[in-house]
Amino acid sequence: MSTEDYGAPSAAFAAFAAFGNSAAFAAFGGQAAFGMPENPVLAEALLRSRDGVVGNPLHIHDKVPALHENDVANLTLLSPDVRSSLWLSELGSRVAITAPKHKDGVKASLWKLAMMEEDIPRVETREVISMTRPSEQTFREQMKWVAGYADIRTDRAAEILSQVASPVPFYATISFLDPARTPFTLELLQAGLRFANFVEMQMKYILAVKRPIEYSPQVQPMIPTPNHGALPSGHATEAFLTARLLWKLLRASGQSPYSDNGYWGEMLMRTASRIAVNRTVAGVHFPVDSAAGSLLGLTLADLISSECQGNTEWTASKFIGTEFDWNSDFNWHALYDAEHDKQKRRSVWNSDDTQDEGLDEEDDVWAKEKEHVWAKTRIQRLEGPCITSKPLNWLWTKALAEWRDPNNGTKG
Amino acid sequence: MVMRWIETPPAINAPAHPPLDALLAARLQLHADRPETPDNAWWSVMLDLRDVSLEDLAAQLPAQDFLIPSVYSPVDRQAAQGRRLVAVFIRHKLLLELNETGRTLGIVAIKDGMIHPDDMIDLDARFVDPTPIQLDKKSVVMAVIDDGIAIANNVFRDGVCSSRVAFSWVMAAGRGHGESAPETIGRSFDKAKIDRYLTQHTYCDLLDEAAFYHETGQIDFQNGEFSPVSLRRSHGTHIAAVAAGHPMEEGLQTRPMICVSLPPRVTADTTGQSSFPAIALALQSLHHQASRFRIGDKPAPVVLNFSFGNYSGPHDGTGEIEALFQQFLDQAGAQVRQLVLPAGNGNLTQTHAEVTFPDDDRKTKTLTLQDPTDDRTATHIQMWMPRTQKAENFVTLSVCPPVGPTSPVLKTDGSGVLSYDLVDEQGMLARLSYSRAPDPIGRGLVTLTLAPNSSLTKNAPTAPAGQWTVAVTPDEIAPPNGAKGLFLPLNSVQVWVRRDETLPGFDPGGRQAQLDDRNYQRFGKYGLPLATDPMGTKSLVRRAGSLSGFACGASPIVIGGAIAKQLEVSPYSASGPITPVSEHADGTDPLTTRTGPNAVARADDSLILSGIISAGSHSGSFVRLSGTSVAAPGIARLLADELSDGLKPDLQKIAGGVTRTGQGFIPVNLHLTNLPYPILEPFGHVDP
Repeated sequence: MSTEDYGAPSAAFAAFAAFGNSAAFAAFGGQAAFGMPENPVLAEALLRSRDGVVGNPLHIHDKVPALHENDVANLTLLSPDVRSSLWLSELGSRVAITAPKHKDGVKASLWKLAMMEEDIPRVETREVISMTRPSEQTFREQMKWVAGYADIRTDRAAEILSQVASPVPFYATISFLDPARTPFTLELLQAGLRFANFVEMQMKYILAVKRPIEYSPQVQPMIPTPNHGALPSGHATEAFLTARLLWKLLRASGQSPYSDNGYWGEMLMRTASRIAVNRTVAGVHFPVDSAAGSLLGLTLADLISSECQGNTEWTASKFIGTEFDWNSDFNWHALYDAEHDKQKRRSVWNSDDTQDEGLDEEDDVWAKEKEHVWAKTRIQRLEGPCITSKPLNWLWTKALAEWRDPNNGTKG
Repeated sequence: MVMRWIETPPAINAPAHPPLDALLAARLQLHADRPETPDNAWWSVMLDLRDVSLEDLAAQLPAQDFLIPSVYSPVDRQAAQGRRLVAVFIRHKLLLELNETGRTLGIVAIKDGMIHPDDMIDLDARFVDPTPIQLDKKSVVMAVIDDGIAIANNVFRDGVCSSRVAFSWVMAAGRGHGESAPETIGRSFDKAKIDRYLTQHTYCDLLDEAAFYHETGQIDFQNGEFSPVSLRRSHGTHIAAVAAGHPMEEGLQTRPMICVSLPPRVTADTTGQSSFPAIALALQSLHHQASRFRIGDKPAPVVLNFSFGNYSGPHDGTGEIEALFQQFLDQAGAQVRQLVLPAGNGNLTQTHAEVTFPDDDRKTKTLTLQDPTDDRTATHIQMWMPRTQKAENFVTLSVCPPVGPTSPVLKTDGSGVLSYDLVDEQGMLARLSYSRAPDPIGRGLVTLTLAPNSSLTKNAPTAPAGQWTVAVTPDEIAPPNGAKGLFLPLNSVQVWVRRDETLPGFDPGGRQAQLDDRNYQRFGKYGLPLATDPMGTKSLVRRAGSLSGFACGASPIVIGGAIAKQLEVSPYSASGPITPVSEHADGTDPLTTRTGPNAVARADDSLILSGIISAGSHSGSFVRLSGTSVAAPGIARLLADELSDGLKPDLQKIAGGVTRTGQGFIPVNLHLTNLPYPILEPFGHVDP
């Protein structure tokens, strides 16, 4: 997926046009529906109209109240388009990406830049996620999976083609996403997706993993192969980011039935997994790409929700590519417990082994070294007050309110 | 490229010592040249044994090259009396020898299956004596053999983490995570193991089905096998759900299931050629599993649905597959066992012909075969001679390819040259051969095999695509002895083109060849496909007699398809009768009496809504599938209901039962007498 697909929140709304009766919401994509301002005929008409009515003298009102500075209340005056730039700035300015050398090559690392509240803000860096590249043999061996998955292309073709662009309609079948009903949730998701896209493109660039089509002329993907790197999978990143961010909202709403059990979360994650796997079916990704991408997406979702809520802790994670077993398929349950919205402390080859992994250890240290651990997480905490993003908090609060019943769910 | 006919090399073309199976000899010869088939490669084969036990046979063979699968109990291994059909694994080199010398060891016939990689065979697997299972009153065990049975679908569960499947054998599954397989090939799961996997992969009351099937080996994209359960619609799931699916919430305890998922490679080979050993193993396994179930001190009744079929075989009830089914039923002892099979879908496929030579028409007749282009699998035509005590030269045959020379004349009495090959510089393009199927079939068989006409392999021999003709000239064949009631005439040459389709999702690349005849009338006067042969047709190509080659035995219940809304038999639903065989020239005392399917059941909702809705692969999904495959399990379900109520399974009752239940099944007229030829007609009349 490229940023052009959803560079502005409008893309999410436009995706609803597919439903047929929501096409009007595509108007958010610009002001074309109002006939302004690109329409030269209208501009000429406005000129003439003003000439006809303007009169003289020009009255200047002397009691225009000024807006409050740096006030989130002003955000309501902005279009989603304009706000999207703010969201990206708020999220993007709080991270940095490095690519230090590592024993197995290069490690792509995403850091959180926490600005501590002092006279001259001091930046503290904390790791969010690091990723290293699997061995070349892993990709060669994983070609067996790519070849096997090709068998079900005809069965999945409609999904694969529909998921090339925004996958929001798939999540809208699970949670009641709707441009009129949940505009701020859609805006939050699009902010997250746009941020994730920039992160994943950096990760892809640094890790520089070739696509399946470059390992065999017989892959013959059913869609064009994107020319950015294979690992981490952008679709997996964005699919899991969307699913977890949405799930966090649903849980945080305290609204029954969302908060009663993990059904919605499980279903959102299944959908994310299917979107990720479909990219392997299509022939453009290895399963290990999805494993890396889903870890990135889950981690970014936690970071974004933390930023939005002004929290000082989040889940940090590591993807250790060389430890990934090439005989393994992608299995999201190895990474995440949807019911409790918790990433697994460590993920190993066999999903059985991930049950209750590391629970005996402190959650803010990396899980103990163990053979074949290809992913692990810890809770990252900041000491001391840091500057939080009030605009992001405003967006989160607005979005959260969309999942609560108007009557607070007291009826029935 | 210069094509020419030559005599087939002596290993196959040896009238004094013909191989047990010429086709097997050809396959072995073909594989011997391939580097991926070493001498020690394991083949699964089905042996037709006479008065020799598996143990005694094994004792005469090198132990390292002959493997008795774990489905055979010590008693099974020692049984020696009479005819026994058994599946075994034999290494390539020994199989070559046995195909030539097997007669001296009590082997009457060999049917080859598949090559199995060493790492897929568990040499240490041993028979496990199944423990008895007590069932509630009114219980009936539902058995299913199919491919891609999604055993974790909620319609086969009685709770979120509780399966109704008491036993499931996944033949193509790998060994799994260090777990020892009790089966020689694949892995089997009892209810406890299935429930454990259900528990392990259930989150928030929802089963992660992909993870479950990965655990059972039913979805494994890495191993090069196709995974039917990964598709939205899988044949086995749909069929099993029609037969035995129930809402999970009902918590039904009276329909435990036992099932076998055949390897996808077997399904992919629609000729059915490689299926015999797998079916033999499946039936033997289900025999032992079925024997476990008791209601009090009595065995629980069992209904087995097997919705597979093919176009080949003798079609007279004497073939190996019919014998195999009978063996399963005969092993029942006191247990009530019913076997339900589909009639087949070949009614309109133009894959069957009948050649007769009345007194006033003794000229050569020509069969025309259209071999479509881009067919990447072999095409086989079987031409069965009448049954006799010893071989007679009923007819002589010669073959003319679309381009190139006509073959020499092949006789059908086993004298002279038995087999001719059409060759070019690349190798064999076609083979015309004669062999005599041993008793109880006792009939001459001429096989025309065409190599694939398209290949992606460099220098692979490819047969010319297009119109092949077979000239059939009468010699000792008598004039047809009239149709006896609903039977076809004696003294005919019965022709079948083997099934050669590529099923949805599979990828063998086969395309179905068909027989053509200028007298074959495809459409009726309103443009609809004509489902019955017009009275007095002169066409050699026939619908009558198109019944599946699996469905010709006397004991199984054979079910055709019907369109519910129109109350008609589905046009594709294959029809009888089977080929009459008799020791007597006047046709008296026929060996079997099957005139066609026993009944029809819903296979299509209407002319527009083809197929019926049943379970998709994943829990909660429903899909549509058509064909007699989906009709058969409807009757299997009904039979189970009848048996559950303590009623004697009887097709007349079934018909009544259908009417009574009002569950969407169609009442059928089962009164077969006094109905005109052709045979589909009796089933065209359905009581409203």
